[in-house]
Amino acid sequence: MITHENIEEYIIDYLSDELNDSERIAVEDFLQKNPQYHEMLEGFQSVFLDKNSFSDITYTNKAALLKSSSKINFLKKLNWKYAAGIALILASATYIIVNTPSDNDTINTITNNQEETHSDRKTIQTLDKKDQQALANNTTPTKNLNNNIPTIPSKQSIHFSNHTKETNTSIEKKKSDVHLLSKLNPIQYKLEKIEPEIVVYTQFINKPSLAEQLTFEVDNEFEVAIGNKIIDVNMNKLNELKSNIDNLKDVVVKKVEDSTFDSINLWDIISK
Amino acid sequence: MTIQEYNHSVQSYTDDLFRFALKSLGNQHDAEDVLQLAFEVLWKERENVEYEKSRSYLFTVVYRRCMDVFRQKKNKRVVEIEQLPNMQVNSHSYEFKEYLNKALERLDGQSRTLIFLKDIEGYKYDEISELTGLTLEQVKVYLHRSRKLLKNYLQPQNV
Repeated sequence: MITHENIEEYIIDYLSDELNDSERIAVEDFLQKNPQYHEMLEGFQSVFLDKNSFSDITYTNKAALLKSSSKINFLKKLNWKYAAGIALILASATYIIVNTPSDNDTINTITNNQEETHSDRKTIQTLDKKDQQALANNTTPTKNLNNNIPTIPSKQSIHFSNHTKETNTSIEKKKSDVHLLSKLNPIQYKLEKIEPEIVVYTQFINKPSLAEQLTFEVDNEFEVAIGNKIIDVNMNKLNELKSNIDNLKDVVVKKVEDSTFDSINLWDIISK
Repeated sequence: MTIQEYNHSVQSYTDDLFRFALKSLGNQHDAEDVLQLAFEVLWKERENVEYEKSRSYLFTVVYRRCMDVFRQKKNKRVVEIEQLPNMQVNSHSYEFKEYLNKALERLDGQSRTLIFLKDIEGYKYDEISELTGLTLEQVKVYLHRSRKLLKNYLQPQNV
């Protein structure tokens, strides 16, 4: 029942849209019969805030609050990755040791072969023993190899020059073998950029060793992207990518926490 | 709540929450802190929060945090609003809106947050009660008292 004593409360609830239909009608009837309360109605009406007058207040850093849906926690995969990595390194080392001739044999073979005109052979001739040892140890040679010739010698290049006669067929075969070897041990190709397919394996240039790299990454979560397209990272996807590894060119890993991109060899992620 | 639903909550409700926190606290730094805290809490509790209730959940977190800030700053005080000089002010004028903002700043923190929840965010009394943990009667009393104080402050000639 609306009275002169409680009309103020009813007006506030009326303006607050908190009355049911019958109560609203009752308030309107009361105000119609008692016009002296119109001023009170207008007075309260003026102290209700207009939502639109605050619409210009926005929060500009929403992105920092968002969560990524394509996260992968490398920590969870660390144990088997390390195990696989160690096995890979041992297998690669065995392969290289078995197939690499001694320094004298290699250099003699190269220098005595008059048909060895390919640029990487020339490079090898410019290498002193120290450089070759550096390559064998997967460290940076003392000479800037890129200044000498377009292609850059590596331990694998030495290996091929020792076993193949230079013909068109053998060159093609060598490239193919280089590619396969790069899969076996991408670290060996840190200094190389022989053909596009290998670009993906050369992303660690000027980076710490692979082990250090993984150690650095292990506490972070990443998004993996190919080019500009962020892929959904899960093991099925990684295995699928592994099967199509030849098509990978620009593989990057995005640190979710600071949105910066670092280059990384996806194959290393998979193989680890 | 899925990650996608969480992100949708961020996109949909961040502005509302920030506006509510900013107007309640009157300080951008505090408002940003409270906003970030609210989403941290939602993220941690996402398994237990249904997406449909995420908005009110977030407002609850922000409201409670605002109350904490008020307590820390001893901002909860008896409302004593001094009246303006008896002057005619058009309620649609810029000047009037300035007075209204000043009047809001003079309300205690809790009353101010309830006004914003009601007027700006559009919550009903019962929703505010659920959101804040106050009884329905408390919500109603606080809001009625605040309306009267604001009206008396802004339109003393009508008292």
